[in-house]
Amino acid sequence: MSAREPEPPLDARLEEAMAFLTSMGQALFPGGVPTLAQATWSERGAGAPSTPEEPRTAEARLRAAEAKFRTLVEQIPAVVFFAVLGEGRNEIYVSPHIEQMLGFTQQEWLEAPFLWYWQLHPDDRDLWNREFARGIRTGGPFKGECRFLARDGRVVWVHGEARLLKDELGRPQILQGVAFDVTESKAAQEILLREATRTAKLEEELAIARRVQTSILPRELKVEGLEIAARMVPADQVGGDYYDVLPFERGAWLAIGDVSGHGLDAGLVMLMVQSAFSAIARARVDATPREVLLALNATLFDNVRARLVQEDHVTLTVLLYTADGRVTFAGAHEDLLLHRRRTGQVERVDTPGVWVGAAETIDRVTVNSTFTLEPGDLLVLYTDGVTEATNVDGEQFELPRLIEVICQACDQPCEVIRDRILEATGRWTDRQEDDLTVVVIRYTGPEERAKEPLFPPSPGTHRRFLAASTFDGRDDAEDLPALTVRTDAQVRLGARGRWRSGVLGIRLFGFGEDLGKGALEALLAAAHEVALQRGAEAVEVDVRELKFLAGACFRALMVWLARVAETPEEKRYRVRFVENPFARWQHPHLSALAAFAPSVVEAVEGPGGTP
Amino acid sequence: MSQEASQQSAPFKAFLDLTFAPSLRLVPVVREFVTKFYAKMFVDQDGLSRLEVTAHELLENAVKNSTDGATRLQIDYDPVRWIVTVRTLNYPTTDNLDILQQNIHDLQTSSNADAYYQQILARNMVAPEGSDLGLARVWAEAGFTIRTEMEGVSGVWVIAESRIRGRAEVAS
Repeated sequence: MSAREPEPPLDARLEEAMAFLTSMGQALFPGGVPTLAQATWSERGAGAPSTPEEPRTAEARLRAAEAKFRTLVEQIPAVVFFAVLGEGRNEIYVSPHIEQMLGFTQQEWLEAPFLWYWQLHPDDRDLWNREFARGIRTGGPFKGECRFLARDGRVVWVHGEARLLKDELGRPQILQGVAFDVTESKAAQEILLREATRTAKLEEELAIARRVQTSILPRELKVEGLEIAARMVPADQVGGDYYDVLPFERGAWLAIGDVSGHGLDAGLVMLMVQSAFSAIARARVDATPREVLLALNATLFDNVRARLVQEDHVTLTVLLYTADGRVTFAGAHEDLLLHRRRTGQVERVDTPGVWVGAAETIDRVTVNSTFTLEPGDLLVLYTDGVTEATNVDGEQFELPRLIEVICQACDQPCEVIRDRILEATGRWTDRQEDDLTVVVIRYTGPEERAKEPLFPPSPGTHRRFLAASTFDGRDDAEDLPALTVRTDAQVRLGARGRWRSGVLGIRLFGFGEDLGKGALEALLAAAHEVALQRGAEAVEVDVRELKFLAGACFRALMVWLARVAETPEEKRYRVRFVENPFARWQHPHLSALAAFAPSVVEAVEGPGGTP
Repeated sequence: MSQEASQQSAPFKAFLDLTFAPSLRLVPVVREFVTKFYAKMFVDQDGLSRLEVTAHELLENAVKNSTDGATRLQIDYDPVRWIVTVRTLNYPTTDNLDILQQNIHDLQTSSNADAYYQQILARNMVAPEGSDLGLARVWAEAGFTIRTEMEGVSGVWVIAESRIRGRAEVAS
């Protein structure tokens, strides 16, 4: 049928055929619904009786109409049929095209009135029966598509439409219709449907794959001594890119890889890689990257080859970073790019080895390699989606352009460098064909244990001192001129002493610098004497207006506290500091003093409520 | 005092280089200048106060132990890595240099930071003229790492480094 001329649309052909049948029926039976004898027209020559009035004319017209009808009907590339209904009436007419359609001759159909039912596909008989019953009940028209079995066993899809002609009492008399072979269009429909289903399934698979791929990526990128920024941009056809960061104390496992193939399978393999890598790296804390990779390969080979029966493999480099800047790695992937802060140059670090999951054992070709990061160095990991991004001229982005972007942005935060790389790749290509993954790592240097202050500046995180003085707003306190220090250009430290209810108050203001050391030492010595003479319960040192406390003045306070600590218990007074929670430098100094003389200085341990 | 404050060629670097004749009276002036210079650069006001203490203590040590009348202060802030580096250069006596390096070595290798700091405080009650109280405050209270680098035969840089969160707009 492929050599045939294109046929008009099925609907148009049906409409044309049905219109023709109707007009032909009217021409043949101008007096209304014919009787069986009138309606039956066959090769057997049983013509309809002529009317008594115009026998010759009517007969001639009928013959002419018959000839015309036969010619037209037999030329239509469809099957035209009549069936006379009623008790005992089983005569039918089927046009000769039926032979081309189903392989049975016209004669065979006429001689076996139920042949059509026998050839109706068993699975469609119920459909036919329902449609026929509906048509009889409603008067039609009948319309449907059923499968018939041709003589040679072929399944032929037939689209049929028929109408019911009734007598004056409304009884069905004749069924007339037309049927077309729609096997080809049905096959095309099925192909389209299959394609649409396949596409929908593929879309669903891709959505799942994307979700798998992106949901297992690490969210926590905090590693001691490293600043890390990473992003993976999945392609429409998920490409199976993978990166990972598994921090541990003073180091981290890092990984970058790319699963061969695309789609859900690649996503599943990537999920396996992530699970296996995470499990192995966490379980074998002393393992080297090579050992992790060998174990991972064994797992992956078994899962992918033996269980999934897939051919996927993975380019994968596993890196072990320790906070001293040392990086050990194993496994083949793209070159690692190492931007040295000292030289401003990018070093390409080869990643020797083979794919993971492709061979049962890879121990002979898997080796550990190392390099050392210095503070400020950048390590850039990426997948081939970056370097192989292709522009409209078919030119790939390639490593030199990637290196250029890194060099231009090397002083920027890692997030900025990462985004610059992705932006440059995006500008280069108008269509992303593969996943893009970029991991930018900056070595910030080892975090020494003492780098965090022993006494954090934030009040309330270590010890809490008074935030208000007992002398605030009190007019009844006694001024102590002996404990007054006046500031000048040299000695920028000032002080005022007061007494109230067994508490000696010393308010310090200005700057506790070297040149104020002598004044402070004298003040504290005098305050000690006054406190002892008056039997003070406590000495309150209010430093809220003190702007700085240099080592010399700090030491003066230490000396005083040591003296208090050495005072016999019955005479000893307590020391209370009043701090300014907004002058953040004060808290660590006071904390240090409190730690120095814990038996003297009153301080509340634990978090406080200061800002 | 000769004073120069400049920025490096990279627009984001905040670099300060001061050279002045040793005078304890100038230390607070320089400290206040440094504090104002970096105040707008840091989000972390705790960090600013830590820098203030560090600059003051290192300068004071450098001034007290200078033998040739010159002290140099450099402060470099890397807003990308958020690392502030305070460097002071002076030419101390051999004895003072040895003491300095021993003190710093002790700081770096102490196994218990808290206990070691207390030990320094106690030691300063007995021998108050040493440089270790200032260094210990920088190390323990301000949270800076400390190391030394030699400059020529007798010059020594004391280098203190810490991470202080800067303002985002400075870096980007």
